[in-house]
Amino acid sequence: MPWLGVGLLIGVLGIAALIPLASYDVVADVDPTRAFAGPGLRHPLGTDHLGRDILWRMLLASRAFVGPGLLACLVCLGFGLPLGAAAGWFSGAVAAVIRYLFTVVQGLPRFILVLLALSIYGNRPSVLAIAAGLAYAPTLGEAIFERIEGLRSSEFIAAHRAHGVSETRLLLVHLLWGACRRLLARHLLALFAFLLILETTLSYLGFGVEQPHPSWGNMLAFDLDHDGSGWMPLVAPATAIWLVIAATVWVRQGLAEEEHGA
Amino acid sequence: MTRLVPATLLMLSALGAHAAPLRYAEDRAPGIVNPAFATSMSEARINELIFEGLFTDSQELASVPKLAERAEVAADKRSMVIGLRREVTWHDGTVFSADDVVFTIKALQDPRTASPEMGRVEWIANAEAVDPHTVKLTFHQPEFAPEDKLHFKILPAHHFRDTAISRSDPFRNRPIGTGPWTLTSYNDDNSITLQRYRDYWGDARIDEFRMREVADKNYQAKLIVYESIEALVRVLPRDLATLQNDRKVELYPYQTNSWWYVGFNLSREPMDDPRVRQALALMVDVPELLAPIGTGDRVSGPFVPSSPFYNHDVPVLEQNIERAAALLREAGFERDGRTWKRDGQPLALRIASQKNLETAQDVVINLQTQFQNQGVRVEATFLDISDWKRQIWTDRDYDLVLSLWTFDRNEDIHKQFHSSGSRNFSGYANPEVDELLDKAKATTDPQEKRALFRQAHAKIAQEQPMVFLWTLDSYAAMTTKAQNVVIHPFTFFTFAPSWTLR
Amino acid sequence: MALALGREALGFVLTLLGAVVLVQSLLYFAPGDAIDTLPNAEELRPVLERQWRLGESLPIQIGSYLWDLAQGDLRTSLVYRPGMPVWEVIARPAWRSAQLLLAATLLATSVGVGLSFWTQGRRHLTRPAVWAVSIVPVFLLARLMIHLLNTTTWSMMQADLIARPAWFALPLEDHPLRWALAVSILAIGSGALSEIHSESEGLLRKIRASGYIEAARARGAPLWPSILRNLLPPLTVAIASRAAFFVGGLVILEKILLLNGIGAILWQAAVSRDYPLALGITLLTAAAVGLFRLGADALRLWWDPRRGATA
Repeated sequence: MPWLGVGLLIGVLGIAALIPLASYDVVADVDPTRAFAGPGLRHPLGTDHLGRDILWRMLLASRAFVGPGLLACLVCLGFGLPLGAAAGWFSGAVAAVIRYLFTVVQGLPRFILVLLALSIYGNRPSVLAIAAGLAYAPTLGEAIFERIEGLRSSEFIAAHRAHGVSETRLLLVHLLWGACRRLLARHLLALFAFLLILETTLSYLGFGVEQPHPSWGNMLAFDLDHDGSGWMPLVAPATAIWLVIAATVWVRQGLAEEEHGA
Repeated sequence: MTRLVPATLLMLSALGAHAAPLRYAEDRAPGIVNPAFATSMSEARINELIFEGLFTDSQELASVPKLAERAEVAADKRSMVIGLRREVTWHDGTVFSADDVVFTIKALQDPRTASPEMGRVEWIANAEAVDPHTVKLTFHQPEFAPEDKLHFKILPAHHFRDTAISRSDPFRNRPIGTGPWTLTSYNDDNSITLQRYRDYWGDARIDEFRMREVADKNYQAKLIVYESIEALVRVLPRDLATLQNDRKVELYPYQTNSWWYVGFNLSREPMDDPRVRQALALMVDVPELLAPIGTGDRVSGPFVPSSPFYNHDVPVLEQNIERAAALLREAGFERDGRTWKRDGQPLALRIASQKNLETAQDVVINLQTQFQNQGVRVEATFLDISDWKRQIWTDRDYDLVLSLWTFDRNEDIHKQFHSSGSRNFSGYANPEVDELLDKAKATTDPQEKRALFRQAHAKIAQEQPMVFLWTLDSYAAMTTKAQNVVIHPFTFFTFAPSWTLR
Repeated sequence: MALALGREALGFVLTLLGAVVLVQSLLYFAPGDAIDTLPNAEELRPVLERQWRLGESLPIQIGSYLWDLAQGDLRTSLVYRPGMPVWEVIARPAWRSAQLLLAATLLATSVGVGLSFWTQGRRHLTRPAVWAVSIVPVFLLARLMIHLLNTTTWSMMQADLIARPAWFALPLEDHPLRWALAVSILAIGSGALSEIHSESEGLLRKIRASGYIEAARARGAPLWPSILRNLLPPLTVAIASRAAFFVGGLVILEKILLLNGIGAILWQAAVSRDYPLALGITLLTAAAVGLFRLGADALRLWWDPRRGATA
């Protein structure tokens, strides 16, 4: 299963990266006369209420969350990793202050923080990504802190110290890379899935990605209650959302097993 | 599923002796039921059931007395005396009197009240109670039809201590009016129940109204089909077909006094060039834009065709690609493959529209497609109301807007097209038009006003500060159980007293 | 134990304080405010800025808010229910949301733990099935359920197979079914159930491996109390740490199912820039989440079989 997950995720990233090269144009592909055409050769998944090709929109919609998802991961790493590592490494007052910050942010439900940020700073994918990344950073930071604090005084580290390994190298190579990389990957995958859920939910509720640009969320919002829309406008985006979330979970499970096994 | 549903669910108990209510859906429940602070349409609608003004609209949309019984305007048109109905009582039993009218005007004018309705009374210089049933109003300047401006709702003076009224006053959800229905409960599920006021001075048939909040617009039409509500204030165009085919639902068309437009930002290149504006206007296939969102009449200028001020001599613009291309070339653009370019820069514009304007999305998407097919790249954004006001009205940071203007019966386009107008964000300025609008504002002669506005219509249409699109037919949906239904295009429930429900 | 709890309570107050400062600062740098939503905003701005206390500097805003808060005043709503005290707007919806949240937590826990007893330690088809349903986002689950229930019921009504059920049509009618639907979707969706399930399975594995069970069996004592005593404390803490996550689902669910709780109100407040209301709800949820954690920690301390050793 983990490898299937990796494959799926690489596929989605690939589509999001390559789709701008395709000649499809969200603006030009409007023709109300062919609205709700069923699946066929020309439109493998049929068309929506404005006669737009569902398959193309499905593929294009991957951009709505892949870019912001990666940005959110970067933001989260940028804040969560150094703060968590500092707290774990120095402990004492530094750790107390950093962990207090973590607790404050974690006390506010993540979804609410993101919603507030969007309503304040404008409804843009970058705001969504940065807000989600920052809201998730304490969770990542806490995890890193616990891991490093646990190992800091362990025999494993003491042994390396005895061999004359420098403190920086010890922290960067042995602790962060050696002991935390799978943990990091697991959290970033969780964040990525969280962002997908956020983005599709907000777009569904009319607060995220806006027409004419497609999102799996806003595709779900529109066509369900039309007469004669068929099932495809519902089934296609719903399945896609499920698959991507499932993929992140599969990979996370694989990483967790590897970590426990190692 | 088939076995499970009937087994687990309760049956609807017969409603029996209690008359069924008329349930209608709103996207958002009224936030405050105090006419002094009404800002949304849902508030305007519910106020129409609970409160009354001195005058109201007849079914032909002419001003007729409501709480007023008779009115006399002085010969110099600078004052009027209004005799009030004597048999009217407030919902708490108190007798309605001239003090209430005077209080309402003073309260709306009081700057401490900070009422969004302030503008409706600023033309009144003074209001005094001559006797308990007579009010005298004096005006700042001559008014030729003051009764048209006296539709605002009257508040009960005895409820308030001071003319500075506050949003926090308990009146906000326990209002007292003189209207046919009284608000009996503001419920926990955001619904509002209104019952017929037994001592109402006039006639009203329906026993109970219930406002239901249905935040998901996609869902409203389904609910009337499922008979979960009886009335839908505004049907989305895409739901029209479904409702038309439903034998238990009747559609009521009504025309609002509003028209749609694509506005240019005249202070920006290249829209400051009238040839470019003309060219862009000629690229638009208006009927194709209108078709997916409903039916309506096209307009050639800033009035609706049914208005006395509409100039029928000005023709509506038809799509003309060749002429558009010729105009763009004149303005220095060259067609480079699929796109128009000037000095190597492609012609690319940003169009903004309001997020809560439900049908605007489809129009913008279609418009984008049309422009793009003609070699003009257009990027779309949808703004919420506060972003809209800041970005468009204040910062004027846009190229094109798709929006609409809605007018009251005065159809005063001064704000939109006068160079000093407060809503003139496009930056339109023409001394001739300014003069025409000033004169129209000052005149007391309806004939002259008509002539002036028609001239202004022709002048504005010629300069093309915006592409005038259409006035859209709106549809209300109502169960066939409701009869005698006439709908007011703006306040919706104005004629509700004569409705009946089987 | 009292000392530990006291320290946690202090931490809780400090956290809330931090939340006020954080959210107030977020709001302070916001472009645009509630006045923008009024039709004649330009005219009214001078008066309303004073009335609504919008023009002050950040430290003064935070200070005066804390001062009001200390006196139990959450200020008044500006746009959602203009003029209504925030406390009055949210008190009853908050109670409803709390019930919903609590019911969903209990349901997720009991089903998750129950399933884990059944599935742990062997290959079982139930596990992937639970997992597959549970990872569906809340909004999608709610949308599908409403659509499915409404359309099937309506077609059966049209065919005269059934009379009109009292809950019909979803989500408009106030009926226990709607509430039950909300509770179960919240308990299952966005991974809630599967996470508790696997958490509980993991704990069970540890407990079985730890030797407690063998010790209890050797003593001839009943096994269940022993297992639960070792399972519930860490599980409660794990669930409490996800309380904030549940709240996110609540916002969406209340909006889609038209349940008038604080989640739906928060959405409206955020969309219409009713900042006092948004701030009030944010703080209330932060306080609730914090209290929940505090309670869970207290429970753990009280339950913990090793309490005797540490105290």
